[in-house]
Amino acid sequence: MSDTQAPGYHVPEQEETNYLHAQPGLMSWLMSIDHKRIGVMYLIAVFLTFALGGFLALAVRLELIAPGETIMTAETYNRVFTLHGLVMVFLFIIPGIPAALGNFVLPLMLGAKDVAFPRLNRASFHIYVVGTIMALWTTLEGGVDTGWTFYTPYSSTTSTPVVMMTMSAFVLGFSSIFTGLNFIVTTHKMRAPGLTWDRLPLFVWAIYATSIIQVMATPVLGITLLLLAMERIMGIGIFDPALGGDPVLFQHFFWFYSHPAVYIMILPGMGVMSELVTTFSRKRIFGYRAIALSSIAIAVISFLVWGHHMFVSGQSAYAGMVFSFLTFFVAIPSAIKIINWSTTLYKGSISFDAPMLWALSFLILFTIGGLTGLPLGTIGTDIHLHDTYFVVAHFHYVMMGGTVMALFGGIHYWWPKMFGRMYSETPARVAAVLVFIGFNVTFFPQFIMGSQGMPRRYYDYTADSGYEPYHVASTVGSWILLLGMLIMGLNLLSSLKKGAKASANPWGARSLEWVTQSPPIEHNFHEIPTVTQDPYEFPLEGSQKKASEGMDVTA
Amino acid sequence: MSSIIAHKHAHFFHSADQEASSAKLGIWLFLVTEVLLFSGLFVGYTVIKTLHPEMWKVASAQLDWVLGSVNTIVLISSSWTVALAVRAAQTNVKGENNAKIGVLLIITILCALGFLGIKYMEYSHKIHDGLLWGTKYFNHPDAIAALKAGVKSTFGLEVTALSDASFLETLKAHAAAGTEQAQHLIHHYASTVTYKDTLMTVEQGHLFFGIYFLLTGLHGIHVVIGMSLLIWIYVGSVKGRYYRDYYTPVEVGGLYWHLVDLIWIYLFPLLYLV
Repeated sequence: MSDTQAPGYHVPEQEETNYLHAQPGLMSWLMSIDHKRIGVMYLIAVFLTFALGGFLALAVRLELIAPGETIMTAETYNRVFTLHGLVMVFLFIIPGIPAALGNFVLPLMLGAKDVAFPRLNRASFHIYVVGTIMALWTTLEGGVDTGWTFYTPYSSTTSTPVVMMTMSAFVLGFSSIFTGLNFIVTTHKMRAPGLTWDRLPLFVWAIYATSIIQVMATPVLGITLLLLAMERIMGIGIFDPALGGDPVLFQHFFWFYSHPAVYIMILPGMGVMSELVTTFSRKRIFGYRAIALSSIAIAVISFLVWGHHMFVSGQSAYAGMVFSFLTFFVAIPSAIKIINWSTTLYKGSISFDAPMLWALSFLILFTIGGLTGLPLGTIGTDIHLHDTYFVVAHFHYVMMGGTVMALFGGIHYWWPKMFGRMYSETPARVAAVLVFIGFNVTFFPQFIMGSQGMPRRYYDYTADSGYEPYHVASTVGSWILLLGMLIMGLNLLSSLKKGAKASANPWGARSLEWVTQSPPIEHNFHEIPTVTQDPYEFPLEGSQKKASEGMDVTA
Repeated sequence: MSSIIAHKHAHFFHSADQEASSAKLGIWLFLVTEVLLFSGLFVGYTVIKTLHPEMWKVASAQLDWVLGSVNTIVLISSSWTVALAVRAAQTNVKGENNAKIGVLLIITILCALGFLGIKYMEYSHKIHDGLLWGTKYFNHPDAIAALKAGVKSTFGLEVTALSDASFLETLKAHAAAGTEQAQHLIHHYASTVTYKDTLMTVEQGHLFFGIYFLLTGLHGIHVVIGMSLLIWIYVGSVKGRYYRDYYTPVEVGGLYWHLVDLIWIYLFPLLYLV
């Protein structure tokens, strides 16, 4: 840990009242319009939903450790994996990085005092809480058993509380839209003087691209879920072949949102990656413009690939070919990022602090996840792999191996800024390594059994199918994951009381959030800084140039 | 009252200009989400129309294009008055335009109410005729069974052939008592007979009306939201909140109202004329 707080820098000698203590009481938090407090509340919320979704995943894994009924019935199993998917997607990973880290960091990075619409930001959080309560309410009604994809006609006929769950996702959509809209406007209108577009931190670029998708795709999910609810309530028949409708239309609608949505999930993680890789290799980011523009390219192309979820649905072979081509096409911007990050590491002065370990995990796991996406985007191989554990493994390598690793890396990276305390380095590194090992033990066997034909979402498999050893390995891996997560969580929590005080810029990073004290004062900056260089002006090897040099502060 | 209340921009903006341009970008982005929300229904419209072109032709002919046209004119006029209100706010220096802004907003709100009134007439007519969605559609077996059961329990008559027009006369004779339920049944039976030659032969006419009610219903909800916004803005305008240097709420509300209008301008030809 290097402290690079430079003399003459406008971080006050005497620590001033920070945002955590600006006003006392629970209500001052719940009704706060401070983007930092909202970010922290989102962070707590996504920790809780991640724990819930994680325990559901552990239950699924435990059930599959042996053939036959292990801990739950098939009906319960369907509800458990459905809730796992819904919680992880809608309650955890979509708000995860943008709403928790993004809310906290983005205005600071822009040198702004808050987001453009602070009350809308608060509304976003309140709506998120309402949507979460609605989603969890369905478990009191017995739980939904459709899978998180809500495919018709099963979802329009099952007796489980689908309407409540779809309305929950509908409500959560508003929360997502409000956050995205806020960030787009904030990025356009609230940048500090001198902070031109080509000086924006890459995290901001990534959140900006994410916000575009949130704003453009989420309304389509909204109308899709509304139509599904109307199908159940009114019986309009638009998805019901018996009434003259088309069930595949639902799949088109659903994936028109949900494919861009996986980029809502991964793009912010890529943004965190860009910050971590460059800070912890102490080297200027390689290919700034390529990384920035590839985020926008992903946002645009992601809208054109939804049909690759439907190669076996009976869509036309011609459409299948086009979607297959576009799927390969969308892989290019992701590859550009991976290559640029790797090149940034090359001959960098790499320090293996905990955030960097998470970042390196991302680099390895996301690469595996990305490359295994290609056989799924190829029509011929997809017909074999469709709806198998290969897809489950691919998805988790990208989402958990990608986004979750970046989220944890980002949490460790910005933890000192958020709470003014340093966590213990050793347990943090142990946790990162354990999670990396546990993750691979859990999910790598799923590639193998998937390619051998083990279908996803199945409750059972026969003893002579040969899948059992893979399932056992996968379940044991989930326990290693649990152990790693527990160590990480306890380490972070205990740092709040026992951690060493963090300086304004413990990592020697160069973007604007490190210019203010840790934790920041309520209005972020006393004077809005004027920016004169890009956020990755890292010193060359051996140079003593400090982080804050080259950044003026004007009154 | 012809004075103004000076606006002070929020502390996290460095200027009123920054605040105003943020609000404008924000509402435009929100309008994008609105368009995309409706786009899903437009796609549903296209798919169902393509799957059942004959049904669509017959079913859509049941809409009243005269009422639809009147409503189009009403909404376009309201868009014009709200645009004039924005202009009046932009040129309001010392509050001399306060009353003008208020009157223009009131006219806009009255237009919205008029639109909803006409929509209510159209809806009631469709409901009476059983031109509804799914199993509620008048020729759906469930709906016909309900009609027969209703005739039997109210008049004690067995319906044998639905197409029998003389049966209607019998019903009318029985309905001398004229209870509301009896009137309703007769009306329903009459429309069943009327539509026998046209809609009865078209299967899945309910799909058209399902989409009709979803599109116009969702649009109607937006009219109500827009109207509420305009009422709130009207209250502010009476107090003199909007003037040359600060007219963001009038402009934002006006843009929202234009969108409500614009969506109807697409709905009207797509549903009533095509």
